[in-house]
Amino acid sequence: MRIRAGIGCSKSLNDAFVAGSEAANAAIRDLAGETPALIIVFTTPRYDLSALIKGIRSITGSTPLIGATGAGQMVQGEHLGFGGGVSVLALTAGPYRFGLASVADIKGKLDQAGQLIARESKAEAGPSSHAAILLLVDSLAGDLQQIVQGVYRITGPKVAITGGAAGDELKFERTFVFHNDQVIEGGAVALWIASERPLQVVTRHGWEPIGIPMLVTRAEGTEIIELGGHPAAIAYEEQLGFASGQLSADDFWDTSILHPFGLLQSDGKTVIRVARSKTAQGALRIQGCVPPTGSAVQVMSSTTDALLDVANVVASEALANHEEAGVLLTFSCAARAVILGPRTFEEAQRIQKVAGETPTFGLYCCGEFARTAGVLGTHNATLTALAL
Amino acid sequence: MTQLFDGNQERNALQVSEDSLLHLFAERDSAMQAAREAVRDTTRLTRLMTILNDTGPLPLLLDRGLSTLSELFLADIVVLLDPVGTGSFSPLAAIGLPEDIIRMPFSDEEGSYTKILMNTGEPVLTENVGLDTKIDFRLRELGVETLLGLPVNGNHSVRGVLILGRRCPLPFTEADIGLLKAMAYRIGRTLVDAQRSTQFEIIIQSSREFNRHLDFDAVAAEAVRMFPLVINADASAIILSDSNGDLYCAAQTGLSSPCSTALCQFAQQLIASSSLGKDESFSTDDMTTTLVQLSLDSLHLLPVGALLAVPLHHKDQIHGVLIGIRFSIINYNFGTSRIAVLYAEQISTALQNCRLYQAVLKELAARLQIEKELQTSLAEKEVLLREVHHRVKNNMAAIIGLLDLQRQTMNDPQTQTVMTDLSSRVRAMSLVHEKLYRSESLSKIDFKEYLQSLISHLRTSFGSPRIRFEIEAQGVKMSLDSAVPCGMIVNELIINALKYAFPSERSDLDGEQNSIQVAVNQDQDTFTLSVADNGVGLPFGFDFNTSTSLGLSLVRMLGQHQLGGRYEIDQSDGTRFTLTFSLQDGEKPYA
Repeated sequence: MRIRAGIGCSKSLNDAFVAGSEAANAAIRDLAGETPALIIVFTTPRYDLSALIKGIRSITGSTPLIGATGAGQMVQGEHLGFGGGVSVLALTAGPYRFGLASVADIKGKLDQAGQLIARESKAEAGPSSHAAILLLVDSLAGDLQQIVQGVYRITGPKVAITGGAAGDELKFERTFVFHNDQVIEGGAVALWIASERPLQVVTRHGWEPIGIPMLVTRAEGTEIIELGGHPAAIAYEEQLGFASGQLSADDFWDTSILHPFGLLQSDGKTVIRVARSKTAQGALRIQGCVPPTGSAVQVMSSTTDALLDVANVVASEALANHEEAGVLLTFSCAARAVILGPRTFEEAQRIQKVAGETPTFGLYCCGEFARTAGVLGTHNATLTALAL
Repeated sequence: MTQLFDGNQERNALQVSEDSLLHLFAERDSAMQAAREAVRDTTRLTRLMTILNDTGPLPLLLDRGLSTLSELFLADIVVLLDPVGTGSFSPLAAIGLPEDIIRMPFSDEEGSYTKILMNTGEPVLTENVGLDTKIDFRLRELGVETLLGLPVNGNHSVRGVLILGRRCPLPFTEADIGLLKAMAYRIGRTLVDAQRSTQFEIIIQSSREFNRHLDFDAVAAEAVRMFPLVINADASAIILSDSNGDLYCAAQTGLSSPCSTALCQFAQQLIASSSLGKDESFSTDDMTTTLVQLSLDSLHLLPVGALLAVPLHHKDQIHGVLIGIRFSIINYNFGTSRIAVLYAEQISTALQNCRLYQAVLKELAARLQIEKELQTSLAEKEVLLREVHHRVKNNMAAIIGLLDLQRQTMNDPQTQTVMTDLSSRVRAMSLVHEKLYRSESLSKIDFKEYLQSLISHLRTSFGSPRIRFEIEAQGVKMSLDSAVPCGMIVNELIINALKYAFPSERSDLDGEQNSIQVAVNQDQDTFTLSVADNGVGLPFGFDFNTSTSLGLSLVRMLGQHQLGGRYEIDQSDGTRFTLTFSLQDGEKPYA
């Protein structure tokens, strides 16, 4: 019994309620009469979000709902950029059972929050041989690896962890997640997908190292203070061949988005960390998850083609893991969309092309979740996917 | 978009031959790879050391340490077992074990990797977990494919196991194993330090608790409550010797079956066989052999995997044994045994305090008993004294009755008057005894009450309808020795006043103004007694000191000789006799 997906979008920004109901109506209609068991909503934060959710719920009723704001969506091969509207995915239960849980005010207690929503969503879904958990979390809450770790304490390694950090079209001011009727700021929501077959999350980033490996010699909070014993910003500029202080605070992002850090893993791979800004003291503020003191990092670089190529790899691997997939959920990074610029639509196109008839539904996030080995499951500038 | 390394450096390189370029790239890649590997090893060591050198609660440090291991070695599961420290094969810390199984103990059966590691201290590496039954079943169920087990060393031996599991066929390299061995050693040091710190904290805490208790049962209960925490035991018992030297189980915890007798026999044999020294513990994880050596067989009823016994002694005499029991076969190490001896010394001191306290209580009880007996004796004496006063008063009442009867048989008025005076004198004395046996203290009477009774009797005997009596003696208390002479003095002076101060012709004229005042004041040990009347006064030429009348002779003798006082006689307005006297030493309240 394959899961069935119905997808609807509304690009109208005029009336949130109407936009929500339009998108939901289209999604339900797409199910061709089958009963939805879950609604997933990805949207721009520009709406009156309460009205938007009411509009959606006016169509979907009490069907469990989860969602988040982001920096664009990729739906059925189409890219909806900033202010692009709202996308609704209606899913039948298929072979799965779903459980939802959310928590507000997670800042400062991310580990506990992760445990809580994992435990509660698992309990709601009920026991199963296998499972996956989809997390949507406020990207401004702090070190998001902590919430992943909290979730991992409950799931163990057999449960795939995926999802992304909610965004606000790169303003970094306010982000929101949705749980049924609730619009939650500064919170997190989890969807437990109970399954009788293994579910695997796939992730790739497409970046290559260009600098020499450096040790993070001091990191605090969300900032790398020192690299190799030098002020982090100076060391970073040096790696890129810039003079010390050549990158101003204003034009830092234009460079750093093209040259994130790769956090070295023992298997030779890297996990990407993006420096969002440079402080007046010469520290680098990292989005989502700071490499701790003692970490080894390298400055990375890539090409548009290389970044787009991972879309094919991720989609094909995810679907190869699940031959009877009824939907492909994807989480890409808002930074990737910025880098890809006018070619961003190609990412959605490539994914859909690989998926063929299988519907695809994705969000551009400010941090992607994909635990594949070890406890580390938080990424930047990465594409991740889960086939259901 | 272009790659940054497509810059000046590469444009220059294009000018050299293709072979040179390829050679340069190969060298660059090789150098880069070497640098990555060097930094990778450095980062792994640095990150773990950073965490383990941090301060904070052990669970937090271990959680961060194991998380870091999971991240650095791509291990989906990292488990730390510390059976020597905890007495259990349940994980002390774990990453990747779901919460519903994280507390379940790992298999410690013979042949299991856990047991092999504990016994040999050698790392275990397996890359085909699914088929390897030596691996704990839950790791297989969680899909672990590659597993590395490492010994975690304590001070003198293996104390635990560090397990890393990967759900992919990626093997752990020699470099991984080398680094992880070093990290396992560092974790072992951290555990030893933390355990020692925890043990000392418990000992300090228990010391405070022991100081609050001064009875054996409470100390024994506290001892067995805290001992399992000190040495990570599942059960404990305290065996003490009673006053006859026989051992008994004073308290136990964690043991469900009745086992006092078996434990007492075991303790008895330990002491008798000299297995326990004054400051030496006994431990075993082979109970079968131990029981044979001690010629015992009863302990097999108890679920004993390992046992630690420490002596409780006072000076050189062992008077008890503290026993810790683990249900799993994980013996106690040397460090824990030393800590247990330290803890036992604390208990010994607490028990000695109990003994001293019991001795003090016993002595106090004896004193209380003596005091009670004294009080009983005193009460009996009071009763007796009261009875004596009562009988004296009754005897005097009988004398008064006899005098009155005698008086009635006499016709001579003068003789009758003498008899009446005599009767009155006896009554004055009798009244003191009456007041005494009715008083609370039996030693003093309220003199005002006495005067009121005395004057009441005198008015009845002598008749004084037109004379007003005034009594002032508020709060004056007098002993028998003072009260009798004072009473008789007052008696004589009032009779004298009644007889002579108010002749009938004067009484008829000024009856309403006739008065007799009796006042007694006390200033510490000094009394002032005055008897005054506003009558006609003493006869002209009267000399108190040479008066031969019986009444005034009595007044003089009693006041001056018996009481040692001094009289003043004021005749300015009627007559006022004032006697001032001090209590003799024998009568002073605290003399």
